[in-house]
Amino acid sequence: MVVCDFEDRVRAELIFTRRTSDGLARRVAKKRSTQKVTRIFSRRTLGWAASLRRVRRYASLVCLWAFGWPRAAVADQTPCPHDNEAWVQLVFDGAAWTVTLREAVLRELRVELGRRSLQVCADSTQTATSAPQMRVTLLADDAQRVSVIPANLRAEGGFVGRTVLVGVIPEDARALAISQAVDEALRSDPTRPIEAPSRTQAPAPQPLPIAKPAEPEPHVPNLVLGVALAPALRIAPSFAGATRASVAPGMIVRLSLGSSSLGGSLGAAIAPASDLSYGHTVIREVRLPLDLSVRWRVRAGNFEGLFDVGVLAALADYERSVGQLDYRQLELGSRVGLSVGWGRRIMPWLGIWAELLPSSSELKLAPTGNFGHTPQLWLGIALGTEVRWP
Amino acid sequence: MKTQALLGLALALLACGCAERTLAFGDDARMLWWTDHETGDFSEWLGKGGQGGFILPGNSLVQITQAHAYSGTHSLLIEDDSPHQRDFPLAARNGPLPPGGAYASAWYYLPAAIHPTSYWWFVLYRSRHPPYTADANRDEIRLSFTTRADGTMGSVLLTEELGTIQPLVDREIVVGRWFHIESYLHATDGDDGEFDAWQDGELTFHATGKMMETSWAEWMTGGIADGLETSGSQLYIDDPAITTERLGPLPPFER
Repeated sequence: MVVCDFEDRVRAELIFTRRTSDGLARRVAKKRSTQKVTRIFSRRTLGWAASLRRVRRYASLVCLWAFGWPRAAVADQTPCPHDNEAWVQLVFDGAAWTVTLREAVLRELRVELGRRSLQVCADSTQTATSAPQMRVTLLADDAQRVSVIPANLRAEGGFVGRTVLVGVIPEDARALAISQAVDEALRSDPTRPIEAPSRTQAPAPQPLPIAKPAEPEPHVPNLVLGVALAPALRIAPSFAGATRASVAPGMIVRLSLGSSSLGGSLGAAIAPASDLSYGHTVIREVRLPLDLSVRWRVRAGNFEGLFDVGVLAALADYERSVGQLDYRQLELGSRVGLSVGWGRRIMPWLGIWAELLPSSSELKLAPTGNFGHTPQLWLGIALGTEVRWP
Repeated sequence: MKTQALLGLALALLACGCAERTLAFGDDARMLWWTDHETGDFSEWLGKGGQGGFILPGNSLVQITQAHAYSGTHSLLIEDDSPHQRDFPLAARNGPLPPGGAYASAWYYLPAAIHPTSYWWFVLYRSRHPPYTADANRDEIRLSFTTRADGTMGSVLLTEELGTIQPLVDREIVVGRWFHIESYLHATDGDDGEFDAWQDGELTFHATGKMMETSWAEWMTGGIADGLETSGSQLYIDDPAITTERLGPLPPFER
């Protein structure tokens, strides 16, 4: 009974250590745990004789059977580890282990880890000449689940553990499932924190470790080049001094390059001269706008919506009448556009847009002075087709 | 360095594109003739398109001055220095005015009230008839300063064909403030003629019917007065114009 109490204390210390998340506290806890384990086993070895003196002979035999015989049974006859090879220490903990299951787990795990040149030793600290790479405690308090709790003693890193619901697995496959879970735990990132299993609150059941899905390949956006051509109407609806709106037919061409949702576009308009009417005076305007826009694309089936917003530079020529005084200037502004289309490679579309200029030029005559301003707002509508590659 | 250059280019483009510019497209096509006297002489009265004009100082004074100006710094000064006899210091544009009608306008300024003995024509349309010599003319339509019942200055319309026309609105002519007179004449020798006058944009006279002996009309402005009852004798004129459309009281002329 005394020895069994020691087992409980070992288990409690392990759980306490697992629950500690702070690194410093974890190291302190681990140190405490290690010290206590050492003290417990020292007390165990030194105190066995006293125990045998205090308890009856059969009780001592039961305790010897509980700790001595199973360990002797699962341990190899040869020293483990041997030849200073890297090894993993396996600790079977909990009341639900059977000898058969322990041996089966050891056997399966040796096969698994042997591929990585790792020996597996169970409770071999006394014979080891080197520290284990990892120590894995397999805690089985009942026959339904086994908790795998690895500890990287060398790195003093975090703990990565998992619980295997063995109750739903056929008996002859449990050892393999547990060994795979151990192997998986050993491969896992030791710095990832886990929720340790608790005696009072059963851990949430986790599915058996399964092969991770293949990492998705880095997403490479598929760039699509588009060329759109459309007849268009450009309208200056209202501007200072105007007696009527100016309407100019023309053509627009737009190049676009982008992914499925975001891209850019470069557009230009070609139009003949249009008249800006100021009552008694008409100014002929030739305007060549060029815009560079960011384009958002929304697609639903064959339907596509496009939204452009960008900067605009327009070369404008204002002339009172042919051959007379004219002015040529660069006008900067912004452009927003909205288009809807139907199709993929060849897409008919309908678009509207607005060109906004932050300022306008004052128009003057002698001697009557100002008679208006150049337009600051141009609206447009176009119906055309866009061809895309690929 | 490259970034600074790009930034400079962007700012230059922005300044080029955003700065408000003024685009001057020459003379207003509605103006048949105009002057703001900023040349400092009579050159634009005597020339500048059409058939020219003439200056008649009479026994008084007609000159370009800087004493008062509606636009710029110069204006035309008419001064009657013959208060006890008829005199005619004036400036005129030769006809004929367009047969379809024309508008003649100017800004006027009186530094002191003028009270003529019986008339001071400050706007005059004269017709000419064959053989179109210097004295083959008739003074047809005259806007004259008059003294209103309360002693302030007003205006009256006198015509050779229709007699005296009463004003639609009897507006005071305020001393010491620029006022605008614009008139329209459809000069025919038939009954389809028309004359209108606006003071500061308000229609003050309207007459229809036979306006003139012939359709040859020329516009004069200044002073034709039979005498003065007070010492006030100066009239400043600026921004005169003959136009095909009614302009109304415009802001000062700009070149």
